[in-house]
Amino acid sequence: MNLAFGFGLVALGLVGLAMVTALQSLLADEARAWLRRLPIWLVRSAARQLPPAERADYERDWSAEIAGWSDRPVSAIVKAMHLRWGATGVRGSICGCSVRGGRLKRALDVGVASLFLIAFGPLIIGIAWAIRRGSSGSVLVRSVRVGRDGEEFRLLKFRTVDGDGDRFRFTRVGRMLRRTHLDEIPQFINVLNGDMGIVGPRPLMPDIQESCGSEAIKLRCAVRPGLTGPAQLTIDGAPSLEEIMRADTEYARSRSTATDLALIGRTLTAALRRSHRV
Amino acid sequence: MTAQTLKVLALFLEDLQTGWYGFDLSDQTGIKTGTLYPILIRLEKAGWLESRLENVDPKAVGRPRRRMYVLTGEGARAARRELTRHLEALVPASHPLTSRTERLA
Repeated sequence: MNLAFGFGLVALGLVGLAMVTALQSLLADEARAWLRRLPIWLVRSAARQLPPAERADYERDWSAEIAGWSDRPVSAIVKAMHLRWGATGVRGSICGCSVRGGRLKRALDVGVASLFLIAFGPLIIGIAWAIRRGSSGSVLVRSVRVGRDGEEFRLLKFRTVDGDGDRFRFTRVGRMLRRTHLDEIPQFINVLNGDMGIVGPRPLMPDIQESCGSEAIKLRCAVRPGLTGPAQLTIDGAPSLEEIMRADTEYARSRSTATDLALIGRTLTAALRRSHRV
Repeated sequence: MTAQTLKVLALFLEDLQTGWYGFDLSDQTGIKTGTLYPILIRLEKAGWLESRLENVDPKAVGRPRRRMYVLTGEGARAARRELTRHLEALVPASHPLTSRTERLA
């Protein structure tokens, strides 16, 4: 009995060892191929952070450079990783407006947006129901704005008006939504799909951006627009476009996660006091 | 001008004829690629550097052509001026360090 048990254990051990060895050699090939592809993948990902016009050129340049390091795979991975981490800096140099922060900001944006969408869930359903019931038409409206890299995107809002063209008027629900800025809630969806961030310069309409000149175009090439911006909170009264631009540029140059969090906090308190403009 | 930019310029000044590829430059200076490329792009925009694609057949070498950066004439003059200015600021002529090394020599 003891002998059989001993044999059984040895047999099991041998089979186990054979399986581990087989798996190891199998995965070794996988790991080697993966290690070879990793720098190329990182370089592509870094190039994707750049303005569309420059993307292809830099992807070609960097792919060529990384190919020259194929005999030193570890150095190649380190170099490609630093390139990916520094991609916002490269983007800033190309755009001529340096901007700080990247991955952490995006993670924060997605986190805060998801949290708000979940927290506002019942309210969103309630508002949607009220809009539908109050007048005929869609719940959401889209408005074309200029985003990062000058790419146009559709900004989402709750519909606040009735009618079309020049003959429109605020609905009863709409007037309330405008006053409380609750009509901006759908923009958390714009944040989730990457068109916007939580904090950033407000996205302008294409014709207004045009009239702001090169400063605005440079800034908006470098950063994602946001739900709430420094200009909306730091300037009192009715600021001119120039004042807004100055505040936004200053923000882009000096932003940090701490200032972002502070601005989110101030937006919340301002929204509760209903005293701010967005 | 940052110390890193000066480091890059100093390396370019060592040999005006040969240019540098980005990754080799990062290896030589110890400046990380993500920091180096913004410097290269800014210097090229300012006209201190110019870049061209290396002269090889992509099919023969099995990869795209690399971009080589070289100092322009104006860039070389400006870089020398900046470097001397910074060296003078670091070690003044009357500094004991310089006089001692002169004595030793």
